[in-house]
Amino acid sequence: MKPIIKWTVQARRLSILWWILGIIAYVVLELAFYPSIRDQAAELEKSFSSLSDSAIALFSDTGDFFSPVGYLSGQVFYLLMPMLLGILAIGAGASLVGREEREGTLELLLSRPISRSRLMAAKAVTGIFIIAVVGLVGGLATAVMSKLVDLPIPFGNIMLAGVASTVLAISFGSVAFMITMLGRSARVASVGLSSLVALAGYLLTSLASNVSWLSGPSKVFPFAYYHPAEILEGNYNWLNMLFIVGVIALCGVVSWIAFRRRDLISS
Amino acid sequence: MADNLPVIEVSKLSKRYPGASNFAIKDLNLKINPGEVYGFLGPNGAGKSTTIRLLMNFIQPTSGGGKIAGRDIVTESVAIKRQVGYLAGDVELYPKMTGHQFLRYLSELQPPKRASYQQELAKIFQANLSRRIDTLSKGNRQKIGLIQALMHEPEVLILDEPTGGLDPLMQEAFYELVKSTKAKGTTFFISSHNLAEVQKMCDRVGFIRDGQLISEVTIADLSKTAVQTFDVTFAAEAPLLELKKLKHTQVTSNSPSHVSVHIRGDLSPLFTVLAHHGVLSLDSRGINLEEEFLRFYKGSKR
Repeated sequence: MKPIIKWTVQARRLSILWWILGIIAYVVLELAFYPSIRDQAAELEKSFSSLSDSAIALFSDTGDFFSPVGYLSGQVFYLLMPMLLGILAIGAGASLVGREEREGTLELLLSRPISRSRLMAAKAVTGIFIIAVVGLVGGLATAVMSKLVDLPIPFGNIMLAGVASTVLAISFGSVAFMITMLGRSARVASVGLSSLVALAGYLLTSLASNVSWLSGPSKVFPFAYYHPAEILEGNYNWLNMLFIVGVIALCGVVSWIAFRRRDLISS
Repeated sequence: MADNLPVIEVSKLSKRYPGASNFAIKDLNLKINPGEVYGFLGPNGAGKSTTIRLLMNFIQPTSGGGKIAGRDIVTESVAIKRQVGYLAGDVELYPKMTGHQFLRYLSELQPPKRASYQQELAKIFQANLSRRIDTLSKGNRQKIGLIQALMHEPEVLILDEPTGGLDPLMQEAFYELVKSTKAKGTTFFISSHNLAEVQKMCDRVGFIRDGQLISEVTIADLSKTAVQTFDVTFAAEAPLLELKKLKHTQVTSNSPSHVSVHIRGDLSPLFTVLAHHGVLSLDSRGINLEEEFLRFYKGSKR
């Protein structure tokens, strides 16, 4: 397994570096404005109060953009961090095995004494590793920047919010990975369907606070169990995370069942 | 691996791809013996690559099965691959890696018996391993493909069109390598379109058409039964009547004194006739395996 992880990471090292730089730049830009926004919070609050509840719910899980937790959740953890990490995760999930299969190099690896299960596991670990590195750097950058701009939120809570958004992103990536592992006809839909799972979960969860009948359907998506403001406040029920981890595990099991005996697609 | 057991044994192996109305492979039976070089010949779409992909467990059989080195090709595929070297028909490598990086990657997945053998192979094929693979020509990529198949010194080599893209010099180097590797007891299963190379390398040839093995013949038997063509120029008029009376012979008259004689099997009757006439020149075109090959595909019987 180790050579596959090592060489896959090496092949993607530049892309990982750019993602790390991008996420740091994004966090720095978002939080650099906090001191001036904090100073004008009262006036800005008035302007934002004219927005509809649904519009506010799309950008914040607290409804409050200018408190320390509301700002950090709304600007970083509620939408943009999961979205950025989700793009990375879905891309990785769809390509880690999918690209090798499409380009014919998967047969080359499987011509060596490696079982499909081990190959799949190696690729999955690689994907989780890549997303975790970028996600944890994002969390760390947020925690450091928060300190620098005097956002009074515990360092540990910010790191935990980073971990939670990373796990959420991994769940989106695992959906893409699973669809890719099903084979040729499903593979073309992997990016689209996994993006749909991410986007639909976000929209339904956000709107469910104002449209009560959406609450039920939203519960089938991982996003419904992700509450970054609660994590930042330190009162998140981590049992919620079990659902997201369960989705990842389920995708892993389905991927394994589908891939272990299916025909590889010739390039 | 027991010496008397076939190294590759395939029994009633069939494959129908999902959604396809016809079988790509139908009831294929093969037995390839230890140390044998087996040529697998057939036109495009005949089922050569499907057979190889089944042997490598890249695709699953619809029915039937097979064994390599006594192990089941589906359930014991990982163990089989410890003993097998494989080259795909369209060699796909990692374009952004150099040859060295690529071979190091595969060596880490399957450590070679001798580290020096990779360098020996690179020398034989004059392969440039320092350049990125996407900057190499098809022939140079093929050399790297061959090195990766051979470098761990497997007991069985399954090669799909191994000389595609190689220049004639490198083709000869490959034939020599097959000969020396075979001498160590390695078994080869080689799919090819190149009939001349099959003649040079193989001990036995299987012809496949429409997913079915239509004939298997040793190269020695093929030589005995194949049509050979002689172009003969006589000093006087060609003895057409005498030549046409010979068994298993067809005569084409090109001019009154020049004929082409296509003869199958024993050549001595032809030479008896020639000995009684003045012959100015005699050119042998050798065994035309291609003609034999086409004869099978036209559906004629031997």
